Amino acid sequence: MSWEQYRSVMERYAIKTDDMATEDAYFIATHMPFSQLDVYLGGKTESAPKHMTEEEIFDNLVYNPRNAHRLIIVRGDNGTGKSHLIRYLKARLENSASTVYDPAKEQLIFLRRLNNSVRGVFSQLLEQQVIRDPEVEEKLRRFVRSSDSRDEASFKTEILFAYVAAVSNDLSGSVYKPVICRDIASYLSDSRVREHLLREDGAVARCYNIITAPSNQVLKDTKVFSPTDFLDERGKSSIIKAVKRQGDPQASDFAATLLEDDSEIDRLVNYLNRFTREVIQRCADISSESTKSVFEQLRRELKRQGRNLTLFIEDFTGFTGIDTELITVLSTEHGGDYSDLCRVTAIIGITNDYFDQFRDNFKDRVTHQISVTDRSYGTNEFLIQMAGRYLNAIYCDPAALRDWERNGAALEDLPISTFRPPCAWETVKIAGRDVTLYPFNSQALTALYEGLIVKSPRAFLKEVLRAQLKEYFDGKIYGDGWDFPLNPKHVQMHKGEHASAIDRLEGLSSKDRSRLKSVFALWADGTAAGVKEADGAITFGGLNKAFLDDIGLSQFNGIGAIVDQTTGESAAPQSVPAPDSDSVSEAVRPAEARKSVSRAEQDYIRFQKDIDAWYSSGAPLQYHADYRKMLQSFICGDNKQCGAVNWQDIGVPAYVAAERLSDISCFSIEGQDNAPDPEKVLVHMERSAESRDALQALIKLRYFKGWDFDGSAYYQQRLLTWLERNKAAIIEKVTAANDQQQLSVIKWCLALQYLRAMIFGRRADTGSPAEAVKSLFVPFRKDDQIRRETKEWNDLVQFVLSRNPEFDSALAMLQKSSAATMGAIQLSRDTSDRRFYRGDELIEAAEQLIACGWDIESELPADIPDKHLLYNPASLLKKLYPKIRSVMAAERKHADAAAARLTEWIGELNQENLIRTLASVQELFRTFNANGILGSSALRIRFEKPPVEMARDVMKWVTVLTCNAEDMPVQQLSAYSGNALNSLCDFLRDIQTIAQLAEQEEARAKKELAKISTFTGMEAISEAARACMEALYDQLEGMEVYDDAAD
Amino acid sequence: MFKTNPDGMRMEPTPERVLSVCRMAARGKITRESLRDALTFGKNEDKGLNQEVDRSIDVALKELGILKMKDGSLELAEPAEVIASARAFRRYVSAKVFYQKDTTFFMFSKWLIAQNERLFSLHNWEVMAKTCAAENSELSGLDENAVLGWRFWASFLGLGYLSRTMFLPNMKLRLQDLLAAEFAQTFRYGETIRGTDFAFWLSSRLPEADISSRWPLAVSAGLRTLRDLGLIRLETWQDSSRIMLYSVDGDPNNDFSHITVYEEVCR
Amino acid sequence: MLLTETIGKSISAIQHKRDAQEQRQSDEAYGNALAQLNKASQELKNILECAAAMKEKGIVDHPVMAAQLRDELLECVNNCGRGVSDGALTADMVRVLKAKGDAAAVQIKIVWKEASAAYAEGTKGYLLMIGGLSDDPGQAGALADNITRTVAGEPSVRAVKSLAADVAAAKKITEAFSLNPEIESFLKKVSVQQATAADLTPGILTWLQEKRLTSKLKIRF
Repeated sequence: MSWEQYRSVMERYAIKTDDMATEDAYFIATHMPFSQLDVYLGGKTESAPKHMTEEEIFDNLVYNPRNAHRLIIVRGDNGTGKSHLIRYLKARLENSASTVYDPAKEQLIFLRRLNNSVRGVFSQLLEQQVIRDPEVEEKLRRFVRSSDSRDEASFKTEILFAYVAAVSNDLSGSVYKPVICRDIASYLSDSRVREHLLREDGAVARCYNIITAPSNQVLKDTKVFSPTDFLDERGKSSIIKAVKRQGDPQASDFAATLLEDDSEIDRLVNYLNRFTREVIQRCADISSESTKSVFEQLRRELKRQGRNLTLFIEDFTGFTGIDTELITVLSTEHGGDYSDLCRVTAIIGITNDYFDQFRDNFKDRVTHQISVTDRSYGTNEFLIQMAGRYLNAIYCDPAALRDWERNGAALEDLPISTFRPPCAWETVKIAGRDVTLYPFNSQALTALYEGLIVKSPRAFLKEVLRAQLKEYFDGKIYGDGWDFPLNPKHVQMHKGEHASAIDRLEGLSSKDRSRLKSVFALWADGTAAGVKEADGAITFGGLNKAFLDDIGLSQFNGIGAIVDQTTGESAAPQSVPAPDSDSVSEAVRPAEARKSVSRAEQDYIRFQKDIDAWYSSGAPLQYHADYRKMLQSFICGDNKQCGAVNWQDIGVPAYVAAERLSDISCFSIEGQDNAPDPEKVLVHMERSAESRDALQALIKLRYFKGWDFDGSAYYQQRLLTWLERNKAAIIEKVTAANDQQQLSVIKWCLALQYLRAMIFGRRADTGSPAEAVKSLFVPFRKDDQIRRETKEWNDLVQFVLSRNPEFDSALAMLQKSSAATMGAIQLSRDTSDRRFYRGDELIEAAEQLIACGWDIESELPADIPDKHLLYNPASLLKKLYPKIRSVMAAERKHADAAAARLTEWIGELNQENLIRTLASVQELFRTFNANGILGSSALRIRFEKPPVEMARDVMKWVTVLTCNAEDMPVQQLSAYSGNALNSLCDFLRDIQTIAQLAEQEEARAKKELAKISTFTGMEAISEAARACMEALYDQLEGMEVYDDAAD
Repeated sequence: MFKTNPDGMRMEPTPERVLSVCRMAARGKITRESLRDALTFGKNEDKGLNQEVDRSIDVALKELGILKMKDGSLELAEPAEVIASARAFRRYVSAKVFYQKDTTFFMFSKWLIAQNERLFSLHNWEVMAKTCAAENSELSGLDENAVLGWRFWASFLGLGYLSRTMFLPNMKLRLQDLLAAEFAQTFRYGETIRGTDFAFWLSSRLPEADISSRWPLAVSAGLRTLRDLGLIRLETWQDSSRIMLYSVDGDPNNDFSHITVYEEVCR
Repeated sequence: MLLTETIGKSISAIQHKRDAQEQRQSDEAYGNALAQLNKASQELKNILECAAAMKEKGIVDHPVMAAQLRDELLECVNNCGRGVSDGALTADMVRVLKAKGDAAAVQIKIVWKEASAAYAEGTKGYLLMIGGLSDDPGQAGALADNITRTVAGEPSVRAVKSLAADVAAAKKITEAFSLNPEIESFLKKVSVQQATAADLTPGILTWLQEKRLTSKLKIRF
């Protein structure tokens, strides 16, 4: 047979694509015996079931030599194989020896699942001549014919009216009172409600499908009405409200009822669904009685013929409308009052849901229940057997199979195909004979079955066997464009290194690489390990190379060494390091090795799957935050251990690396689900096979808590290669530098410190570069003793104060990035000031700064990124220098003005004039003192110093303030920092004050002088006094006296 | 760090520090005390800090010979180019220390490279030290601190990379240095040469690794990395003698017969 | 203007003012001294004139001032006179003069006290004795009082003159009053309260009756 034939056989006969019934030959050829079926007696399931094989069921239940009344239901969920079982039992019976099945004595009716609709059932009943009553027969024929040809729209309308009629005529009051039923009928007739019910997937359409079941649909559910039929598209009650507002009174009343309570809609739905049966009968124009009588008639007829009835119904769902009548008839035991009825053995397949709706009295009528569960079919052996049978059926000549079926279909006679796989291949035994599984093997079949969402035989057939075979056959037919095998669950090779090696194979398309990996993951042992067998065959992962050749992968010649089984030679005797069993089971099947999986292992598996999906399917990376942290730890280390990049030894200060890479957002991986800010990204990992392996290396490192794991050499290799490939770019980004441009961060920071010191009036020793660095290595605070003359300088101080954090940050950068850190880069953040510094760098920077007078504005980069750790000092300098310029202009102007004013008072500013002036000031104070004039003691004290000394000071200030040219603002700043201007201005103010005082006292002296009056007429008085004295003298002289000495 | 065995291999003189010492001395003659001052800003009352500086000076002066003492002052003994960059410094040191086979540094490096994958089962520095000490009588005094010191220079000189408490043997940088600095003296870039010739050339320049038979993991890994970066090409020609690399499952080259070194290796 | 100039002007003004002040003070002191001198010299002059008047009126019959004192006074007056001539008279100089003058005044006062009492006493006593018997006893009494006051008071030229006049007036009165020696002796005793009843001779009693003085005399026990 050709490949086209194989494919055709598969699609037309063996595994039909449209679920149409398989023909018997294939049905039996592919039938898998049910290993364990649960059988319950009666309709209840309280007691434990008996476990039976299908043979036992056939022997005990189907084969009914004692003619016991049997109503057997076969239950199971969709796809579990219950209709298959029924079909098989029917075929088994049919093919049985005449002692078991004698058509003359037994009427066998088989109502198939095919086109499972009421019409379909009626058709089959007619075909199989179940209906004996001509009148009923005619009605059914008419119904079948008309439901074929009837206009769909008018049929649907008829269905709806049938419901309305059924409701109107309901006088039972069992759910609603008759008066309410009339309201309901009115409600259903309302145009809005009608329109909604008649919509495309509405209740009426469902009922229509039940009745006519278009051929591509399988009837599953017989519930016609659902709550959505009374709610609008959004699930709201707008239709009901509209009817309440605008409908006729009865409809409106009922609408109001529906709005009262949510449960009213459910009540209505359940109520209406009860009428489905009646509606169908009405549409078919058959009454319940006549339906019932049809089946009774059949039994009576057969009884008259001396025959019994075995009735197989694959799926009872399609019998809606006549199901009750049928059950009633089938459950009526023959004999006794019903001795005119033949014995019936009914085997009916129903879903579990349908059975649950059965009324209890029906349940009571069931004699046996057979339950098909996944235990019946879920084992690996079952699947492999099943696959074997189907493959055999596909590979066999259809004629041979049909012949076999016609001849009794004994299993031991089953034709075995002559299909030969290209190499020795796995087989499975069917009735003791080997049947090939090619192109599958048990490994693949099991793995593919495990990947099914719904694990059922039907799903296995469709989604594993049929889907894969289609691709295989297409590949064989067309020779290229291979898609086989499919790997819907993206099962991965266990040995990641081999998968990675495959990814790196040149000469293979990406699709072929993907197929190869799928083959090794699903068919092989998860590796691509090459072995040369004793017979010379080459296998990879246990798979014969011929298989790969067969499926269009002949270019694959293995990866790495191929071990010669006989000699044991290969590229490395330890090509796979002899692992101990534990680690193998760990590495190979971490999920399966243990029953309970630790949290770490769960993470590990999650990560692996995430990374694999990221690389192979381009899926977004879910756990990128974890990987980025691992990457960060690998590159940068942590507080205790170094990272893989020895930053400080390759010329990148440890502090710079630590700070620049501290934020996890600077690590990004292509495909992470949150887009990173490209400006911030310093380490970027693109999606590639290499980075996939690198990530695998990291998660393994984390999981195994070290590098002691299988394949570590490989993964290290990949990780380090990734690192080396990207290292230059990473370093460039971290340092924001390249061959053409280096950032002079240390110099900038030194300059900032210096400028800050100057602005604050602090001293910095710039006698030598070393001293300069030393004196600038400390934080400066403003000297509050100093007062500045100009608003501009004060504003500059405020500017610096407001940016203290930035300045401090620059100082930290200066101190920490110039320290030679031993070990982990995070240790560079140590705040100790006793460290080993790269003095050469600092001194060189200081030298350059001193040489250019600390003015490096022209060297600053033109473009400075915002908020960039390394550029921040430059950014601050860029703001600072212009301010310094304008401050110094103001200061200089002020200094000049002060000097000019001083000249007015002192004359030319030189030592001589100053001395003279100062001496005269002292003289003034002495004069004040001598004249009891208070003056100003503070001033006096200030001017106490010897004039020579004071004059020297003033001249010093003047010199400092005028020495630098105006185009050297930074040097001026240095000069002015010591506050010479303030001193000079203070001096000027003092001089002014002194002058004022002098003038004041002069004025006062003059005023007082004017007040002083002189004595007049003093001459005359003196003359008179003198004359008086003379007279007195004379008088005394003439006076007689006595000599008191004699006394 | 590079003293004759036994050598405690103190960790304080890191490559960064030794280079800084050399650069400081290169600025002009300087006494030991002044040098210490210059590198600590005079805050060297701390004994530990003093030792850091002194040891770094000793490495530069006594072990590497980059500095010399003249009239009580230290000055450069080698041309300034050797300290012009980290790379130049590294190549200078490599060219020296791997030929001093009697140093603890060399002996331990040699031992470690020979361990191949076994190294990973020695989970940390202490175990490494103890195992080596136990297996080598001449290194019986080796302790954890020595290995901690060794690791900085080993990774700097390109013997491998650091990851947590493990050393990842991959001599990409070491090999690249040799290929950049010395390869062109014997061969031409871009020209495919026989693996055996290459091995012969390399063997005299890589004394720390035994490449007489299957090449150790460190060298093999380094070569593979160079290959993956496109700086060399490894080929296996039929009927040619092969150089066996350390076998790593999944790698395309577990041996090679010919090698091409590209000039890009010098960048 | 340069500061030195400003300062210079200021200092100059202050100095000037100070000088003027000092001058004024000096003048003031001199003026005070002159005034003091005037007063002191006037007082001295009075003293001297009083001494002369005493001598002239015969109240004293010897010099009343010691030579030394007079010499000292001369020196002081000389000093002061010179001071005035030089314009350098000081308060001290005047004080010295005044002190000496005061000393002279004390001396004169002592002399006056003694001399004036002696001078007036007899007359005053007799007057007192007969004053009541006179035609104008009031006048006699007043005169006696005056004399007493004058004697007790400070010596002055006026005092001297007054005393002399009063004593003369008293004498006039007493002389106008004729008395025999017996009656005079009796009245003197009465004036000093020494008269006894034994002294009441018939002649005295008759005189008393004639002069109607009998009720004016009281006998005490």
